[in-house]
Amino acid sequence: MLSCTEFIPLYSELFKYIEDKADHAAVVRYWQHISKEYVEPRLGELVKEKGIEGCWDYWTKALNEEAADFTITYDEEEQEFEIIMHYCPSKGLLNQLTHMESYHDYCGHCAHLYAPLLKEYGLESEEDYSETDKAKCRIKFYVPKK
Amino acid sequence: MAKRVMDRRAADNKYLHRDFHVSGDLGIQYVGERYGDNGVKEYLRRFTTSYYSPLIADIKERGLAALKEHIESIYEIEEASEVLKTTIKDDELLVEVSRCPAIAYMKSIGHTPSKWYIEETRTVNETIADNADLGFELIHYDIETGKAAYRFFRRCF
Repeated sequence: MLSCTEFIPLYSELFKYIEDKADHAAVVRYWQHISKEYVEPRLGELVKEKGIEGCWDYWTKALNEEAADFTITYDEEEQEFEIIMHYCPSKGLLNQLTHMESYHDYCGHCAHLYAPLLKEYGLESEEDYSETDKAKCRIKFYVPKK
Repeated sequence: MAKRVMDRRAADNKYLHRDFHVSGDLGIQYVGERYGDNGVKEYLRRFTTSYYSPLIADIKERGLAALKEHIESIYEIEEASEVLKTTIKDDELLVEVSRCPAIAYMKSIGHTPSKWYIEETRTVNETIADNADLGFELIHYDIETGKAAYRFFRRCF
C-alpha cells in the first residue's frame, strides 16, 4: 500500500508514463476518462442534485482533506462559485520534490476534469492557470444569465 | 440571498484525502487495461525508482531500520498503526499487515480495487528492495482485505 499522501507523485508519474507510451493527447484522453469515471459520480451527481451549490459541497470537502490554502466563495444570488487557490498542495508538493521531475503539464488535468463535465450540467467557467508554476490558480463556475 | 465564503490555510487541516486511494487504483487499472500486467509493473517501477530515491539512499546507508521506519510512517499517516507489525531479526525485516486500510476505505465507498492493486505492495516493495540491494518476498496477500506478510532480506548472488 502506498499512503494516500503519496498519490500526487504517483499521478504525475502516470501522466509521464502514458505520454512516454503514446503522446500528450493520450494523457488528455486519460483525464477525460477520469472525469467520467471518478469526477462525474461525485461532483456531477452533487450538481445534478443541488445545482451549482453542489460545487460547494464537493470542493469544501476535498480541499480541506487535501490541506489546501484556498478561498472558496459561493454566491447563491449570482449563482457563482469560485475557488481561489493560493497554494495548491499537489503542485506545491511536486515543486518541492527536487529529486524527481514532475510531469510538464501536471496542472492540465484540472482543466479537463471539471469544466467540460460541469458544462454538461449547464455551468460555464472562467479559469486562470497562468501562475501554476507558483501553485496558484483560480477557477469560477457560474450559471449563465438569460 | 446567502453568500458563503470558506478561507483556509494549509496548516488548518491534516493532509489526508483518502479518495486518493481510489484515484491511484484507477490509474493503475487504466495502465493495466491498456498496457497489460507488465505495463503496471513498469509504471510502478518507474514511480518507485524516481520518488523513493531518497528512501533507497537512506536504506543503503542505515539498513533495514530505515525501511522499517518508512513502512511504519505510512501506517501512521493512514491512522492505522494497529494493523501493522514489523520485526527485524537476522538481517531480515518481516512486515505483517492484518488488513489494508486503503482497501477497507475503498470498499467502504463502493470501489472494488482492481486486480492490479496488489502491485502497490508487490512491485513497489520489490523495486525498493532491488534498488537498495535487498531481496524481497511477498509471503502472502489476501486481495479481499489486503492482509499480507512480506519480508526484506540481505540477498546473495
